[in-house]
Amino acid sequence: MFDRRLMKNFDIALLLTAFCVIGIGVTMIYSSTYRLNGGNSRYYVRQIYWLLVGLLALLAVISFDYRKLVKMGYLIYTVSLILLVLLLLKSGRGDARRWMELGFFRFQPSELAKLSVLLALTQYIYDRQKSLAGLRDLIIPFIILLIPVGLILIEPDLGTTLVFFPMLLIMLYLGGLPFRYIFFIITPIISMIISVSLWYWLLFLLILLALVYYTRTTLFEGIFIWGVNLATGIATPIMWNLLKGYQKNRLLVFLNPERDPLGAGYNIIQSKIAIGSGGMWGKGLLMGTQNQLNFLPEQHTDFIFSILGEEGGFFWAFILLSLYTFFLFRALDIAANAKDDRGSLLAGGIIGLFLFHIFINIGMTIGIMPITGLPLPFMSYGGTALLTNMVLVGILENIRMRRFETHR
Amino acid sequence: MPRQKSFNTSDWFRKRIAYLTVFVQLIILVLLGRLWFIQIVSGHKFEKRAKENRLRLIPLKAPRGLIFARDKKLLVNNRPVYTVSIIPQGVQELPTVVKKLSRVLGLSEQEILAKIARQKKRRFQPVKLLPDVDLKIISLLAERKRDFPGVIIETEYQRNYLYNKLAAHVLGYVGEISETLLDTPEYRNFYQGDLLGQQGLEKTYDNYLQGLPGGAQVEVDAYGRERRTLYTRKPVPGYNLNLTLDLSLQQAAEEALGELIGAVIALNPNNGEILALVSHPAFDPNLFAGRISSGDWQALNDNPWRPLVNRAISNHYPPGSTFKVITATAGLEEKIISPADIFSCNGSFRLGRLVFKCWKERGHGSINLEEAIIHSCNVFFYNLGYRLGREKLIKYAYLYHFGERTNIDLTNEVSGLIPTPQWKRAVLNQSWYPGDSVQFAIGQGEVLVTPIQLANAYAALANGGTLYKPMIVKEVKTVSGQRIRLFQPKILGKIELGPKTLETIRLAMWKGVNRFGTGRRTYLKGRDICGKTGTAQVADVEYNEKNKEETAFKLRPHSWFVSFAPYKDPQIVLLVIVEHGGEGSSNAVPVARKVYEVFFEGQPIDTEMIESYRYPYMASWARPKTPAAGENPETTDADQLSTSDGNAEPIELQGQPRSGQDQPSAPGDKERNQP
Repeated sequence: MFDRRLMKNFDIALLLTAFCVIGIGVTMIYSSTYRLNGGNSRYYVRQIYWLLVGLLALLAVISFDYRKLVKMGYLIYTVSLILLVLLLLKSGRGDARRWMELGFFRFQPSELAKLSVLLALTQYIYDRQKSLAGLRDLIIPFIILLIPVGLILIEPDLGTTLVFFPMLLIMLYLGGLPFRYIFFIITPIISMIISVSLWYWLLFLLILLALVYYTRTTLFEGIFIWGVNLATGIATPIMWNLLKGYQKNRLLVFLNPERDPLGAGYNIIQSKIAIGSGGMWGKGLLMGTQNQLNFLPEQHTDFIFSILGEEGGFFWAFILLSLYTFFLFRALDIAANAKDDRGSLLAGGIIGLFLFHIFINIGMTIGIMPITGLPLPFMSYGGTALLTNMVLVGILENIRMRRFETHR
Repeated sequence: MPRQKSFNTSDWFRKRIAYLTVFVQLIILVLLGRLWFIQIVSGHKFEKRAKENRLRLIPLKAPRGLIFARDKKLLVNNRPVYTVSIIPQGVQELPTVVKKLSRVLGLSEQEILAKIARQKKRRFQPVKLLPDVDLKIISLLAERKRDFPGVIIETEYQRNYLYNKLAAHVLGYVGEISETLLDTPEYRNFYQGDLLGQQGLEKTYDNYLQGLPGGAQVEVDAYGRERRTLYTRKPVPGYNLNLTLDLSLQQAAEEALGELIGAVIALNPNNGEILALVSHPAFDPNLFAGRISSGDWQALNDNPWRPLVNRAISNHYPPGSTFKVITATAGLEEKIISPADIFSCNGSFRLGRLVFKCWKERGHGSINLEEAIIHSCNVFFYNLGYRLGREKLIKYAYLYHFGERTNIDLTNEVSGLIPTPQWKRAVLNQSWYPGDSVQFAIGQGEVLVTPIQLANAYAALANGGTLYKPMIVKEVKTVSGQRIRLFQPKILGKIELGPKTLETIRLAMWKGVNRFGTGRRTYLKGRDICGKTGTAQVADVEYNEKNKEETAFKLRPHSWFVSFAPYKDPQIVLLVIVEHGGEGSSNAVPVARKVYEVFFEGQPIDTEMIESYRYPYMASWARPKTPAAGENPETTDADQLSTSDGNAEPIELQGQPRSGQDQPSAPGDKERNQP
C-alpha cells in the first residue's frame, strides 16, 4: 500500500508513545467509570473503538502527501467555516451548539476548525515570498484565526478558542517572525492582567514605550502596539462587568477556590485533594477514594489526570509527563528535520496544540490554571478529541515519512 | 509555487527549535514541580482532607430508658418515627423518582420539587420530604430500594407516653437540648437535637434514662450516601425505671377527679411509696416528644389553670381544717389538753377585740377533742392553739416537716410556708400576735402546705410517727434486667407520738368517716377509712351553702380530704384537694371514695368491726376491755394490765379545772355558751 521507503521512515516511537499514553488513559477511564451503571460501564471499550477509528484516520492521513493537504488548506478552511456557521443556526446554547449530528455519529466542528486553521496558516506562511518581518505580515494570519475563533465564541466555547493562539504563536516563531513581535502580540494579555492595578499598568505602558523605542520598531507599529495595550487596559474593567456571573466566578474561584468550596471551587478543591492524597505511589487502581466515591467531577473527561494522580501517585504522573515530553521531543525533531518549511510549520503548530492542552489541563487539575474544559490529549474520554489527536499524529508521521523525498 | 530558499535549514531556525525544546521542558518542569509540591510536600494534608471527605461519624442515639408502673406495666416507651428524605444529587432519573415518590407519599410532585429546590444551596444534604411516615410505606420503600435511588429513610425514636395525659406530672416530658446548655462543658458530648428530660422523672432521672450514645464511622460518597460502615459502637440503651405508681389506682384517681381542678395523692404510709399522683388539669407529654408546635405551647402556657404545674408538689395551699389533727397531736403530746377535756363552742372565739368564728354559726356546744375533730369545730382549736402558743405550734409543724421540701424525685417542688415571728417581721413587717397562733391552729392565716407535705404528715399519723421521703422510683434496671439501683424507704424524721395520742386522733378520724363526721360520704363498709376534711379559705370571704352560687370561683375555698385506711393496719394514705371546690365534704370526699373503691376492689371485706364501733365515744384505753371472739387470751391479760394502768391517771389529771386555769377567758365563754 505504501512505498517501502516511506514506511522505513515511519516514526514508530512517536506512535508507540501515543499508544502508551492512550493505554494509561483507557485504564483511567476504566477506573473512573468502574462504578457507573452498577459496574457495567463500557466507557473504556468505547474509547478503544474510537482509537481504532483514529488509527484508520491516521492511515488515511499518512497515505497522501502532507504537501497536498496543505495545498487544500484554504479549501478545508472554508468548509470548516461553513460547518461552524451551520452550527450557529441551531438553537440552544453551549453543548447543543458544539456538536454536529451526522446520523450515526456526531462530531465537533471546532476540532476540524483547529486542523483547518493549522493548514491554512501553513499555506499562507509558506506561500509568502518574503519572510515575516512586521506587524503588517500578521494581518492575514490573524484574520484566518479570528474568523473561526469568533464563530466558536458565539457557541459559546471559550476554552476551545484559546488553543488557536499558542498554535499561531509557535508557527509564527518558527516561521521567522522576530521574537519581539511575539512579545508584542502577547502584551495585550499582560495589560489585561496588570490592569487590575492602575499604577502597575501605567508602569507597564511606560516600559512598553521604551521597548518599542529601543527595538527600533516603526512609528506606526509602535503607536499601534501602544494603542492596543491602552485600549485593552481600559476595556478590561468594562468587559469584566459585562462577563456573565459564572464566568466571573470561574476566574475569581481560580484565584481562591475556597471562596466557593461547594460551588465553583468544588472541582479544583476536590481535584487537588485527589492528586495530593495520591502521594508518591498512589492508592492503587480502583482504590482512589476521591474517584470511586464520586468526589471528583467529570472524572473520565476533563479531570482524568486527577485519577492518575490519586491512584497512581507522583510516580505515574511523572511517567505520563515523561511520555508527553518524549512525544513532544519527537515532534520537535520532526519539525527540525522536515523536508520543507510546510512540514516544519505544521509540526510546530501541532506541538503548540498539544503543549497547550497538556499544560492547561494538568495545570487546571493542580490548581495553577483556571478551569477551561480542555481535554488532556490521548487521556480524556471523548471520541472526537481522540480522533483529532490521531489525525495530528498522522500528520506528524506524514511529515516524518516524507523527509527524504527529493521532489514532488 | 516553490520558494527560492527554504528557511528550515537556516541557523536561526535550528536555534529556534532549540529554544522551543527548552520551552517545552520548562512547561513540563513547572507541572512536575507543582505535582511534587502537592503530592510529596503537602501530600499528608490532602490525604487528611480526602479522609474528611469520605468518612462521616454518624451518632447513633441511644434509646431512652422505659418507664414502668408497679407490676411491670409499661407507661413510657420509644416509638420509631421514620422520615423519608432524598439526596437528589447524582440521581439520574430524578423526575421519574419524584413521580413515583409523589404517588407513594401522597405529596404532589410540585411540593417535592419545591422542597428539593429550597435546599439547593446546601448540596449533598438529604432533603427531608415527609416526617412520621407510616410503617407500611416505609417497608414498601425499603423493598423496592432500586426503584427509588437517592431516597433514604431516617429512623428516629420519639418518646411515647402510652397513656397520654396519665401521670403526666410525674413522668414529665423531654425536649431538645437548648443552645445555651450545649455550650456548657457538662453537655459537651451532646449534639444538637438530642433529647433531654425537661420535667418530672424524665428530668430527675435523666442520667439513668439517657443511655450512652454510640456512633458509626461510615464511608460516604460525594452525595452523602453511605457506601459501607467501617466501624460501629453500639449505643447503650438508657436504664429502665420501675415506679411505685399503681397504674389502676392512678387511672382511678384521674377518673375520680374528673374535670375538677386539683390534685390527688395516694401513698403507702409504711414506706412512703407513691401509689398515685394526679394533678389536674394535665397535659399530654407526647406533644413535647416531637417538636412541640408553637400553637400547642401557647395553649399550654395561656391556660389560666396552668396545666404544666404539678399541683401536688408545686402549689401550696392553706391546709384549713386538715391541719387540726396536727394541732391536736401537739396538744395531746404537750399535755395541754387531754382527750376528755371539754370546750364550749358558741360559734365564735373572742380574743380581745378580735372575734374568730366557727363554721357553724350556732356553735357546737360542749365538745371534746374527738368531737371537735369529727365535726371540725374551729372554736375548740382556737382555744387549743391559743393555749399551745406559737412556739409549740411551729415546733410541731416543723416536726411534721411542713415548711420544707420533701425532696420527692420530681421537679419544681415548693416548700410551703410555716409562718414564724422572724418571717412575719421580715416579710410583713409585723409582730406575732396571739391571733396568729389561733389562726395557725386551724391551718389558716399564713400557713401554706403542699399536698405532698400534708399527705406525708397523715402518713406519719397512720404509721405511728415516721415521716418517709415520698418515693416514686423503686428501682433502676438495665434493659437486660440487671438491677442498677434499688431504692429503700428513706426516713426524713420521726415524731414521738404516744399510743394514746395516736389512737385518739385516728379514732376521731375513723368516726369522722364511719359515724357522724364531715367525711362520711366516703364511708365504705368494712374498709375502716379514717379521714379529715378541710375547707381552706382563700380569701376573707364568708362562704356558705346559701351564697355558694354568687361567690366568684377564684374566691371559693379549696376543699380538702386527707385520709388513710384501713384503721388497723393502714395501707394507703389518700389526699384529695379540689381547688376552689367549696366545702371539703361535698367535693373532695366523693373523689376519695371512688379511689378507695378501686383500691379495695377484690380485697375481702374486714367483717370484724373495730372495737370502738361498739364504744363510739371511748378510746380503747378508756373503755373496759372485753376480749373479742377468737382473740388470743394470752395477750388479753397483758393488754388489760397496761390499759388499766394508763387509764385512770390522765383522765383525772387532764380535767376541766386545768383548762380553766390555763385560759382565764374560757370560763366566761363557757358560761355564756352553756345552754
